[in-house]
Amino acid sequence: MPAVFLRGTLPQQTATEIDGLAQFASMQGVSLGPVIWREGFNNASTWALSGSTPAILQLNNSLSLKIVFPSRTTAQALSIFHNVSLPLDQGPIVFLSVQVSGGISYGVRFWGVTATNKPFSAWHEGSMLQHRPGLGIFETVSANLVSESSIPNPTLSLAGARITRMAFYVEAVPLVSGEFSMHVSSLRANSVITTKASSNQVSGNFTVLVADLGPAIATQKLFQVFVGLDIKGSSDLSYVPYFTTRATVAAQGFTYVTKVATTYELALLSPLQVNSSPLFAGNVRSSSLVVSARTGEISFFRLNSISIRFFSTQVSRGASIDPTTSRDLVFYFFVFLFIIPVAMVALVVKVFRDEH
Amino acid sequence: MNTKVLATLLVGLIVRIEIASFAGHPVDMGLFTYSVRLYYETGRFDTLFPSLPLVYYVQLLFYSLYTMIRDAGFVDLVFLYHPDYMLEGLVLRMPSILADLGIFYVLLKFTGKLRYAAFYLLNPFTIYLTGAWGMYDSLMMLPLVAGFVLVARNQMRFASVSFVVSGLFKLFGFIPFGLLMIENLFQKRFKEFAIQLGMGSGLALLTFAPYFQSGLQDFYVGFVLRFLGGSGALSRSYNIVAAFSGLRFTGSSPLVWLAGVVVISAFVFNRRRGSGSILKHLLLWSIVAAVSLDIFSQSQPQWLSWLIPLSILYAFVTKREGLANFSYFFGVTSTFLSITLLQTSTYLVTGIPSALFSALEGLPDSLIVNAVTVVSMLLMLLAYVFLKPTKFKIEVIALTALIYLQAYFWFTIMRIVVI
Repeated sequence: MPAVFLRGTLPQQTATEIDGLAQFASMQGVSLGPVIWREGFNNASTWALSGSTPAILQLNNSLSLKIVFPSRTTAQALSIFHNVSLPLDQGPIVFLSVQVSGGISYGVRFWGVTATNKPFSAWHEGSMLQHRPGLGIFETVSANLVSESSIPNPTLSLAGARITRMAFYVEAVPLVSGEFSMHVSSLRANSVITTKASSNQVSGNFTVLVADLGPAIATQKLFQVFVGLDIKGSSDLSYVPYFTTRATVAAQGFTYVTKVATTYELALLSPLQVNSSPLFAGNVRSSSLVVSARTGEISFFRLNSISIRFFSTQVSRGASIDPTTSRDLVFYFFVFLFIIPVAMVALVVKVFRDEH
Repeated sequence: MNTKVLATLLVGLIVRIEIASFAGHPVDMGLFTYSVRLYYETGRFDTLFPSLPLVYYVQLLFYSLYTMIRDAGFVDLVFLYHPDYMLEGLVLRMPSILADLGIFYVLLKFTGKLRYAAFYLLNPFTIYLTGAWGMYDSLMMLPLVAGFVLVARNQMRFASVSFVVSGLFKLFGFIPFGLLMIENLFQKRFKEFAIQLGMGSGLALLTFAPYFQSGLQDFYVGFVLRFLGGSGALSRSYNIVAAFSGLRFTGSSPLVWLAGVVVISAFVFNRRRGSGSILKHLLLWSIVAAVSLDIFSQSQPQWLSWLIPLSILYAFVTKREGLANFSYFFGVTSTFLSITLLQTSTYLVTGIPSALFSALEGLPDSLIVNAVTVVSMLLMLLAYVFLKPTKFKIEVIALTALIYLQAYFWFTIMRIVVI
């Protein structure tokens, strides 16, 4: 087989790999700082309802909203607005504990002003904060206000900018009716503490590591990302690696735990595994590797290698198939998989009695 | 060649080629296709290939034929949503299809029974894995089966080499190899033991040599720990322990080590009692080890196929016709379960999952239904192995159907387990 030695002879370029460290810029360890704001839920006049749906808002050290959605053929929504003042240069992270009835959806949105009092929206469609299904149980929702502001406003300068307004909303799809509720038991913001490093390693106590890999990489054909990393931390440390581009998750890894045998891990990240988003998703102008602790804390991190793989696959021109065609294909498949082999075995066992 | 043998062989070959020409597991075939294309498009050797290196070498060798065809101007086509081209996918599966034919030949020569060889070649599960999915378990099983035949002929050194080659495709081959080494130790054949050890280490080092260029850390974590169940990733398992507990293991359940101790101890105990041939004991405890891995480790559905040729060989050696017949039923049922409960019927055909038969697929908690039915079949298989030889009866089919329906009712409809 001489062709096995003829590398690079296929007349196409569909499988490629780049070194993610080639344009490595910096690394930072991030941990939560002190609480910079906490809502007491004791002044109803600071909360404003918006929408035509009948609703009762109560504040008693927590927020309670009862809504009755009448039966309609169009979608319905109700919002509650609240004014805040959270400087973005402190990198505030908002945490809320919320319970929303099943059957409806909810979300959280923010707005702010720049240093020159120019208003901007700090939310975007596609974010994990929007259109979340109500589960009927308390959930902790967190929002990185810098990311939420920067994604829809990539050129926004954080210096002097602040978040001035927030809103909770509940929404029902057409024909959903009945009584629903939303309870917010706590709402606070923490600042963040970052430790920057220009090398590929960092030590301290962190919940998230963000490695800036340089200018944003196009991820349409992203196939896999392999990351070689050294990591140490608390005994209960478990973490999830993410590859982000423009602060949006492009690939995600499994949840990893530290091993007894070695501190080294070769993590595999894939676009097919994306099901969550880290609190710190990197710079809006860069691609980043984010390692986010799910439990415990990271005390040491070194980024050894990143291999970013791209794979172009084509879809057949006649790829649009209807259920009838699918069913016909599956029956055809079953004929070769089950019917012919089983019939032949029956023939061998029952008819071809004379053995070899 | 006998006409009946030729007819069986042709049917086995044609169904595989026909299915392989359009079907495939989109994720696994995507991984294999990426690695071979990386080599032939850029010249880069993929040290992060998702399986053991011997599989990559074999695929590269066969893919060179495809490269020549493409270089000659052939334009390949994509079928629906598959990541690979049609002929490309077929070429990548040719080694496994040829290995299936090889296993058919070895079983036929060894047993002299066409029905035993046909139980393997025409088993829907082996057709499904090589023809439809694109899995390479038969590459491991060919040297494994050949190794047992060599043991029967008392060619222990060749058998050891065969088991090592098998283990270098999938680590399971190292189980009979390890048991042979233990046998040599207990028989105080230290020279044979040393030869085995040297041979095994030498072949393994030779196979892995190109991988050392990427650094020992990647090799240690990416291969040694991952394949020995010591990975740091909490990944999905299909076994019953994971299905019921909802746990995601970093490798195997700790119970697999207990099962390993039991298998080795029982093998040693049986050999010291001195009853039966070494072939019979090697087969017996390899079957038990495969069952243990399916129940307790981070098993994959395709691992069930290992039991088919092992059961056929053990059935022949111990005259257990019922076991051989059961192995065929086991394969048919495993195929049905894998398609309906783990993948959906369209997944391998069109490249996207879709539940065409809503009563059978896309069910909640289908992993538990699969795990319960598979474990019940594994226990039945062990009963055929350990209890006195009995015929395969229609009641076994009814019993399996009943277990499946019970699991379906309690776990899918009543949903008594909440994970």
